[in-house]
Parts: sequence; structure tokens; C-alpha cells
Amino acid sequence: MSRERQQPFKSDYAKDSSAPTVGREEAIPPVVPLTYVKGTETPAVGKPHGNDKPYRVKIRGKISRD
Amino acid sequence: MTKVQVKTKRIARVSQGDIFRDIECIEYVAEKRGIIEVSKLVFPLVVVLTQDCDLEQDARYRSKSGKKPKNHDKKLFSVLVAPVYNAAQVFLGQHLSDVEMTMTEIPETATLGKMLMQNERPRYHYLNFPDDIPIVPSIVDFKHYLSVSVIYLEKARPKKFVCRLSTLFREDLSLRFAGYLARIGLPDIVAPSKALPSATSPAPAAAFPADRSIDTH
Repeated sequence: MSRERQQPFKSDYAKDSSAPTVGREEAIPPVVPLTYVKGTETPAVGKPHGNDKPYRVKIRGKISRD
Repeated sequence: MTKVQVKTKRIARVSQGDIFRDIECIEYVAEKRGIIEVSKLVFPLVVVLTQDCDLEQDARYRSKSGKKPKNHDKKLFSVLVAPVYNAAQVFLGQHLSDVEMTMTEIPETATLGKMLMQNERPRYHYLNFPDDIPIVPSIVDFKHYLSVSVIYLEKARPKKFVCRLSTLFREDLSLRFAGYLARIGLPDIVAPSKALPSATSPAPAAAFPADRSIDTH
């Protein structure tokens, strides 16, 4: 089994050289607090309240790693 | 069509047959370069399908009174619910138009529509509510179901509970759903050619062509 297969959840965090390492592995992502800074809520199609059809809402926001 | 019987008084826990309004389902959460996007679907009405005994046992873990179980063997992660659609919009095939989906029209007055309203089409469950319940005639499509977090539903329950199907009607819904989910999809079997094989003709076509489709009712 290849090294990549052993780390199916390897994230971009692992590429960060400042990420802490554990033993000989380097793929443990650091635990960082994610702060919701600002979000924009896409208005739902139709009436958000009282609508009798399912609708989709998308929320976008910037997250801070401070 | 017989009207279902419902109860409007909620009990102290989520129960099978409960109907809730404005239930959210997370479609996906994606993060790219510090921008996070959450897409969620909001269903105006859903009905709970999870077995009531499972819900009853799970509720013991959340009860403030009474003895809590020794382990978490009966605790649930999620509750299975099915959207409840406006029947008039289902007949027009427009009930999911706000999520960019066009569905097949079902002529209400034709045989298919009448069969649906008699609950003789396995895929659908028609619900006609009493006059004192503010829900129009509705349809559950058994192809559509989703799981909702137990914690989310418990928190939403006080404000979003609409009514609860009475025992007999919820059992009817549950049994028909289970039956539909347990169906066996059979391939369309193509009849062999009627021409008699001759000594020089090739072997008859395979009974199961490569592009066979599955009958899903």
C-alpha cells in the first residue's frame, strides 16, 4: 500500500511547513480555531417563509485562522 | 380519498409520523482558500420515518428526568425524514423547481393520478389532511429521504412541530416506505428475436444487453 493510500484525509494543512509533526509522520493537520468573519447569505428563490417548495440557501463567509 | 387522522399536541420527544416545517438539510460544506461555503436545502414540510421504538429509546439519553441507560447502545445519530410535497405542484411536476429540478407531470384526473391518490403507486404516498390542519393535500415521494441530526431536530421541535400522524396512518406510511425501499430492481429482459436461427445465422442476442436498464417502478 502506498504512502498516499495510508493518508486518505491528508489536507492542504499538511503542506504547511509550520504544521507540527508527530513522530515520523507529517500529515497531522494543526488544530486552528476557525472564526466566522463575514458571511453573505444568498436569498432563497421565492419566499423564504411560507414557501411550500423546497429551496436552496448558500452561505459564504471568510474564515480566519488567527 | 380518506383523510388522515392527526394529533396536534406534541409529546416530549420526536416521534414517528411527526411533521415538521422548515427543516434544513446540509447539502455540502466546502472550504477553499479561507472562503467557506455552506449549501443547504430547506424543506417546508417533512415527516419522520424512523421507527418510533428507536426514537423512544434514543430519547432516554436526552431526558432530564428518569434513569439514563448504562451505555450508548440505543443512541441515534440521525432521524430519517421524507419531504412532504404540495400535491398540486407534484401533479404539475413543479414541486422542486426552486432547486432547479423538473419532475414528471402526473395528470391528476388520469389513471396515474387517480392511482396515486388511492396510494396504489408504490413510489408515492398521498396524504389528505383534515380541514383544521393547515396543510394542503400532500405527497411523499419515497425516492426522496434524508437524515437529520437528532440534536438539530430536538432543538427545532418546539417551534417547528406541525402535527403528528395518528398511529394507524403512520404505520401505513412506514410500511409502504419500507416496501418501496426493499423492492428488487429487475432488468428489462429483451425478448429474443422471433426469426428462427439458421445454420448460418449468428447466435441469438444476449438476453441481457449491456445497456439494460433497471425497472424502478
